[in-house]
Amino acid sequence: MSKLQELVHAIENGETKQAAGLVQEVLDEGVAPIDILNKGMIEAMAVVGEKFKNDEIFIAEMLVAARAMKRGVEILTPHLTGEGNISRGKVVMGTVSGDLHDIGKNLVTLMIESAGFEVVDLGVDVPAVKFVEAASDPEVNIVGVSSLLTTTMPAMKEIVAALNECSNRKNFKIMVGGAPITQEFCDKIGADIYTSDAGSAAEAAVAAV
Amino acid sequence: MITPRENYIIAIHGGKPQWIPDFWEDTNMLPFNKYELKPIEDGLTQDFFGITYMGNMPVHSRRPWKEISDWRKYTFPDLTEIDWEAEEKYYKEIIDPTKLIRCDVGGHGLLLTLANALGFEDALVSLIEEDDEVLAFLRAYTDYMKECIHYAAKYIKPDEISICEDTSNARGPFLSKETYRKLFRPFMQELCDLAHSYNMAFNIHNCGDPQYLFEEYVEMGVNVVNACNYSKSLIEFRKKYGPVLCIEGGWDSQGPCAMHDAPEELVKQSVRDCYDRYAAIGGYVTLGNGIVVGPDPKAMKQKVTWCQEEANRIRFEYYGKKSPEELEMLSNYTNGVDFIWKIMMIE
Repeated sequence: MSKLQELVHAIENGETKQAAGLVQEVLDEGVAPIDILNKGMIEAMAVVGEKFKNDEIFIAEMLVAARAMKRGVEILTPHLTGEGNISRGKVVMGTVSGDLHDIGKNLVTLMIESAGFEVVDLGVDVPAVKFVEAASDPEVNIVGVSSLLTTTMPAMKEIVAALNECSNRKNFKIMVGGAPITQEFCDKIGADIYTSDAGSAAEAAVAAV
Repeated sequence: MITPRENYIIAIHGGKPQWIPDFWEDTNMLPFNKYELKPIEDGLTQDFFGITYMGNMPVHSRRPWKEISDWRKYTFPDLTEIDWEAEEKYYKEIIDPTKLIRCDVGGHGLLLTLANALGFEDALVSLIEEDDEVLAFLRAYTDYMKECIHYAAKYIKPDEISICEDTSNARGPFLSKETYRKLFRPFMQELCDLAHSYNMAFNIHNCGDPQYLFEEYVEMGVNVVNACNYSKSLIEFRKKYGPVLCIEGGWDSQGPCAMHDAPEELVKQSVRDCYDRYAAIGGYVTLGNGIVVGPDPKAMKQKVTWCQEEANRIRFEYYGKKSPEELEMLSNYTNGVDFIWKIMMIE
């Protein structure tokens, strides 16, 4: 097994310490940093996302994989200078006003970051005006809106309506998700993308840009 | 005619009762955390792990632990300091002997206590990255809970021990079955066995969808699964195993009846749907609070009212016709929506 394959294995299995060490070892072997990121780490997280989608792993296992990825990226980042813009795009994420739940939003954030995006995390209990303000950044490709509660779905509708009024609306996609959200609800409120889990959200983000 | 307590006990042991028991109406709910929570400022409370609560919810900005090993800095309550004879007298005065006696032990349970103290993500990660320390915590906390059960059995004499185990969200598990088996199941098994040794039923509460653990629960001898979201696999499970696990609830907490503006007929239909899905074979208790959430207490109470109206219209004669006298007696056992609402707000 090559060191790059070992790195992939370490990330898939959430071995944070090993992942960090292996990034350095793969660099020492002379593998291009951008290849370590794209062919090793991002692909590893795509496998993790797929396993999550297929109920082979669950939130705890996905979180440790994402943390291993994050630690590996920290080691890799200084070596990526000069490789050009390595970000796939910029994503704004937040949980709607009235809703204090963050685990779903954080999971999607981790997976989207792991897929190579820069994420601006607005946090929880975010009003429409904050989403609109963040979406005005011309570099934003996707605005992700999360709601865990059935009772905060109306807030999601209001936020999507406000985003749909943005003058730069054609520049970004609106992604929605959360336990009570469905494709039907996504269509009804005028959002662009609905996914049922964090792995699918990362896939959809890649496809959307 | 049997009492609601006797009727409820039939259901929690997987039998077909004389009418569908009601979680709120037919029980004495006795949370053991009255010995564990102390009031602090601004109406907040704090438990012995240093977790601050507003009502039943942890205050996330005040998470007390930085890492899992911080649990060692805290001391479990000394139950020998409690005047148990006085407590026994108190319980004799407040318990309605015609209703089921349920004792809730262990506060928020093994996993959720970790999550409340550390934050959900750190808690879940610790299960995998620091499993030895998690096991040490679970050992100590389970030993304390066992002590609680011994005291409860001796002085409160409940029919059922209820423990919170939020291992799932509404869509599915937080952790794999393997992780559950390795970390949680052995301790839950000890608690279940201890409850059974005192002839008490064992009830596991899960706010989410715990169906991936149902076969584990059957193996463990768990009697009741509480709250329990609706899903097709729950129906399949009941078809396969029968009422071996009593279901309390089974509402679709993410469905149309859970929306904040769900109309009366939809809410009442949800009651009929649940009875159609689960009640016929027995081992079922009505509990519609899974759809009662939201920021507007008035709207929430309205939903409780609709649920109870429909439940009480159907449940007494669900398993057979009752005489007018029997119906009057059953009606007299109910305390009404204001009573239920008060308990829900405390819970």
